[in-house]
Amino acid sequence: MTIEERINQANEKVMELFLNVSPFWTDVRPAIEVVPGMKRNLILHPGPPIDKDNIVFPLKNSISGAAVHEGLASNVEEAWSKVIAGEIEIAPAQDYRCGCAAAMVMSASMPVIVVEDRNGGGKGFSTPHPGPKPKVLRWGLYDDEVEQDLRAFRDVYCPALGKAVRASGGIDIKTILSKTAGMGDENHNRQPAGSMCLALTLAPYLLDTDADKQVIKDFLANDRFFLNPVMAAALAVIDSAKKIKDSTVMVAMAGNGEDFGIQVAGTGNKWYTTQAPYIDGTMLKPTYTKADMLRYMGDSCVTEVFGFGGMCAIAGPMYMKLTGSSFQEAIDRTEKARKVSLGEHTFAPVPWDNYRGQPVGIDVRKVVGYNVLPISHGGSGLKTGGQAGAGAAELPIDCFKKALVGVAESLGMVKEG
Amino acid sequence: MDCRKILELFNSELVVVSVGSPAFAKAIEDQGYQAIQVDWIPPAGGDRQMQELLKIMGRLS
Amino acid sequence: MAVFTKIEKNRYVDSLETLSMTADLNSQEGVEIGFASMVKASLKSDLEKNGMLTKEIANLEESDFVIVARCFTREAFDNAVCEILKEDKKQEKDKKSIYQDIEDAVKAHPEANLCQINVPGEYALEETTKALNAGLHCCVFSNNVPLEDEKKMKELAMEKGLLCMGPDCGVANINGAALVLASINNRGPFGICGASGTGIQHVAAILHECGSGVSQAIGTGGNDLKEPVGGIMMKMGIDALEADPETKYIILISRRPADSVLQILLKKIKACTKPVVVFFMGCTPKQIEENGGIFAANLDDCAQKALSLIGKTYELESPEGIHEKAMYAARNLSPRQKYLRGMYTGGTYMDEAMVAMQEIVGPIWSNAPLSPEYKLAESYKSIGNTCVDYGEEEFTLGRPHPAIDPSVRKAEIMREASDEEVAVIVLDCILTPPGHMDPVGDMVSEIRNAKELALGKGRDLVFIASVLGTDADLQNKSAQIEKFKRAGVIVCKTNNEASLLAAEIIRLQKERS
Repeated sequence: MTIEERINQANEKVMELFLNVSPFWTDVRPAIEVVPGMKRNLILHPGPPIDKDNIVFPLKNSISGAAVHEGLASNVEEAWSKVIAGEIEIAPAQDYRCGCAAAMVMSASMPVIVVEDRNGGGKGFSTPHPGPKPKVLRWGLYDDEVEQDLRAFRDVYCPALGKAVRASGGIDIKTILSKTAGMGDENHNRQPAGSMCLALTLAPYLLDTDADKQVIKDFLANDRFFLNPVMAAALAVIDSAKKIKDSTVMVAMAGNGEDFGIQVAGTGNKWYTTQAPYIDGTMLKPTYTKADMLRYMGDSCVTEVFGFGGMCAIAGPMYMKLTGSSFQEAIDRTEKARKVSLGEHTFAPVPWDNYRGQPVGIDVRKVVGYNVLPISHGGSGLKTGGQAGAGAAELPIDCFKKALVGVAESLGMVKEG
Repeated sequence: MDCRKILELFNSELVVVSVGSPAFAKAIEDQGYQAIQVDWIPPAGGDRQMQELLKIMGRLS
Repeated sequence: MAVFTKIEKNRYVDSLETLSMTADLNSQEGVEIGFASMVKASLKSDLEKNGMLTKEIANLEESDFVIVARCFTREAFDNAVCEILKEDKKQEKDKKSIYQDIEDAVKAHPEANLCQINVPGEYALEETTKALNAGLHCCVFSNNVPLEDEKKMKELAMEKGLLCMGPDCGVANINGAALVLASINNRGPFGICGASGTGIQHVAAILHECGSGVSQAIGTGGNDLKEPVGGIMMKMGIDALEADPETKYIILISRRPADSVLQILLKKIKACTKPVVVFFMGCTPKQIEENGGIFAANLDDCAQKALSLIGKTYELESPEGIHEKAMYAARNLSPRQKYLRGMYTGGTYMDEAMVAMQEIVGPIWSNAPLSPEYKLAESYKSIGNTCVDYGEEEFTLGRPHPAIDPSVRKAEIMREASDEEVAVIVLDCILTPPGHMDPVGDMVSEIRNAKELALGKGRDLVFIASVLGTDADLQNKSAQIEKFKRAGVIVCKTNNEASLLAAEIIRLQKERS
């Protein structure tokens, strides 16, 4: 078999996994109980590996806050010095089948949404969305109030969710996506329909399991809730995809405020990084400027790997309007992704796009060969913590070129290093 | 030498795919014939190292 | 005044677009001098010459695009950039659909039957292969294509029974359409197959002028009749024209084919049932005639021989007529003026000119001479009697063909005119749909300035030109000829006549001294 044939065959296997994924939200449990490789003193962060000396403030704060929350240190300063010393370990969440949106981090006791891919057998994990409050660990903010919220989240809210989900026997994520197809969800930064549908699906079980009134109210009111189950669903199929050697399909992408990186199925957890781009769009407050912004940050774009978000911008034209973009650009973004993708989801067709589906399975060979760069949606963070705005960013070509070399090396084509 | 396809061309309406500068497609249209412009870009944006890798790893279809 | 830049990494813009963007840029208010271009070595050196090579640009790569200008203010620069990119975006919006590769285009347009390919030479094989595999006949304008690649694409074409005209095919007329840099011709009973673009164009134009025309003109590209390629396309062309009911007479035009290829072609000519007029530069009448072909000694003769098959002739100046014209043209020349300078955009025209001239004035120096010992050390430094082909690589690398971008040759007119030993400057002018819409108008002020310069120094300067084209071309051929005449240029009917006239003037000057 030629190298090209080997790669094509591997990619076909990955595409089979992606296109036949059967993701079910089955549980909510503390990370230490369900995430393979999780440790008491390990904190998972978004994006590629972080240079501790060059870490952006919101992530430093999140990590330190989580460490205090976890009881690993008594204050954030102590926490960070323990991180520097290596006593507290940090690692990219996506290397552990996990995803941390924005500046969120995952520590051992934090409950996580568990999604199982009943087709491929893989699993994915992500902490539930904290709700609409701006001052959250998710945006790199930590104080006593945030600590109290984290405790309530851990001890009351999430266990109630877990009970209800277990009672349901597992919620089919694909069904939610299918039912809400054509309802305008962009499914990375905007998912009100999916959240509402999920709420309707889970509500009976919350009632049956006698969940706290406040829990129900908080859950029903959160129109971004559906983000994390979809992230975990993506991670679940990626779990299986990462086992396929020789594949050039992108299976991870994320930023940590400084660096941006991707992974390809064929080389598993190897990150291919470059300087992260800025998100271009609208600011939450007119007083914010580009100088206040951090570069691309967060794992929520694992939804993009799964075909949603900017990759199928046409599905969510409202997001375009809200971020200062146009319907035509929604079409263009989607066509760009289609140009470099190997397949298309068919379970959630977009009616006004001739019922076409989400392009999925970005082949780095195509990105490099056609020199067509996919555009990802994303939220942006303030340097001081908190959300700056939302919009889109073109993915940097360097990552894809490095990834191509990486796969070439793994195939013995070029000398490593 | 089988000239069938060439004679077919001679007896058909000319429809030209033009790869490269749009000036040549325009010139065809200015004469009243149909031209389809292909905005060609070099593979991998002209990056030689990438072109070499892609030659082995996968010609783009 | 400061230098401003706008950089777009990894954005490809082809050379014709950058040419028009640069022209646009320099016409914007507040811009002293500007460039819009891919960041090639030639741009970097141009910028350096103008003191505009910033560190940022120096670090860019060939795949990056830059707009750089010296402007009065930042605002002026931003406005200028906005203007020229607005044009670019407007063009994009007007397009019906944007295809980035041949397969996409063919999928959307299955009725397509021919593919015109004009990509840099190193990519020609890949693109032509795609086109042939998609079932399209090809016309490949790209040059600097390795002979091995040419062989591969033509073998594939032959396998599929498709035409592969080129690489370096600058002229073809298929079904009445002028492809690449051809002129627009009327249809008629003559089928032409040639390795010389200008040659095809020249003969076709004369046929048109005499009320006849061309059924098909198949360009084989300049290298088809060399050994490695073996004449694949010329053979296919002959077969096709033999089989084509609309073609009554066949005309073949080329530089001298390689020996082995010539033998094969002569056999094919012998087997033709239709009359075949053959102009293979450097072949003997015997070779052609003993294989049943009609021998032509040069391009003009080729046209005459073809016309005689339908009982027509093309009126050309007699040797006496040329002599008289030369006497008159040389009347004000000083005895020190003893050289001619030919400035050509058509390579074949230059070859033809040199062959005609050297009979009369001896060997001619050139950047592509007839014998290697007369090669100019520097193409920008003429010696004695010199002819320069401005379509050669050193002038065209990264630039459009001089028929489209006449600026390179134009710039050298003054240089030749300032040499006080120059008596005559000869120019060709080629009309073609993608070409400059007013090529003569574009150079008249240079010509006038040159004449004035000479006059100022107490000497006359003779300009002679020929215009290749037809009255069906988009540029108004007669108006172009008029413009030349009004600028004091002697216009000859053909390039060969212009060459004979120029050479005769030099011969007369020699006699005087």
